[in-house]
Amino acid sequence: MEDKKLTEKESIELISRMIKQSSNHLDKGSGNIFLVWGYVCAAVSMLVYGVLSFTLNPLYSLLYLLIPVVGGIVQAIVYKRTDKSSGSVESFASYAIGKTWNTLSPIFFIAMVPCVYYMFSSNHSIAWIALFVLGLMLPGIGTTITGHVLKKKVLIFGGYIGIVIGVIVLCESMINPTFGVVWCLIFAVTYVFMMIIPGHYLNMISDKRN
Amino acid sequence: MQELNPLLHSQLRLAIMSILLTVEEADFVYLKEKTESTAGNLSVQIDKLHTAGYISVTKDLTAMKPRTICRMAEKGRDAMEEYVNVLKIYFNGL
Repeated sequence: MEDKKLTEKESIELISRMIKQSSNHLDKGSGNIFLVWGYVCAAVSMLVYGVLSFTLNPLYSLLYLLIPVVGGIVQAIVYKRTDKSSGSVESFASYAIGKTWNTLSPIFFIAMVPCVYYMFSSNHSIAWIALFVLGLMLPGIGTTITGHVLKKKVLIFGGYIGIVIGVIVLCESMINPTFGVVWCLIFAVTYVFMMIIPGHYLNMISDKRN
Repeated sequence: MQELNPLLHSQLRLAIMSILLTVEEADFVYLKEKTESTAGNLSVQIDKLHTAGYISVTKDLTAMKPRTICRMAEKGRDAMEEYVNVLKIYFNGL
């Protein structure tokens, strides 16, 4: 493209072409953040399920605290390895999605503090259930909002699965407040629908566009 | 008939303004990719738009690399609106 004068028709064509190109933009690897947290949460949950099934010692549920540590490390590695040679742009959609996750993520990590406190000071199961519900509902809300902003049904549906399972865990815990090992398995499967499938889907469409 | 704004009525400057109309911000590399222009030419045109107050330009360091970020300014948004209105009048008159 050069600094040349345009006809009126060329101007209109250029404006619509540029608007179309940039409004369709989705950064390569957009789904990586979903994949990092999805795989880490599912893997840790499966690990807890396996260990609890074998040992029947509820103290091993503390292994769930590996999620923020491992997730944080993997996220930092993925960010470092991301190709930054291509240009970056912040669209209104990416701005809205960023703000959504920047609001929801700290809520979860702040909520972890009283939950861990109650876990050690009083009823072990209730505190775990509170963390479980938050761990399903907050990412579920985030994925659903992301799906609505990007107009992607896979994300909207995946997010709703997380929210619904979160509500079910909450209701079940009111009926029977014992922490069942099977919830670890359900937690892992929910993350497959809520974050892993949406993550791969986002990467697939961003690869196609780029 | 009202004349088209000469600052916007150039291929590269109009492309830059059209991109910035749809996004919050875009960096120099992204604009270069999308407009398929040379770095030197793009730099000159960004400078012209910045001097006119149509866009704001900031520089930061991302992963130890300097990055030039462009954003549409209110004056630029108004200028684009006026430019499109003049085009509309032109096409309605045909």
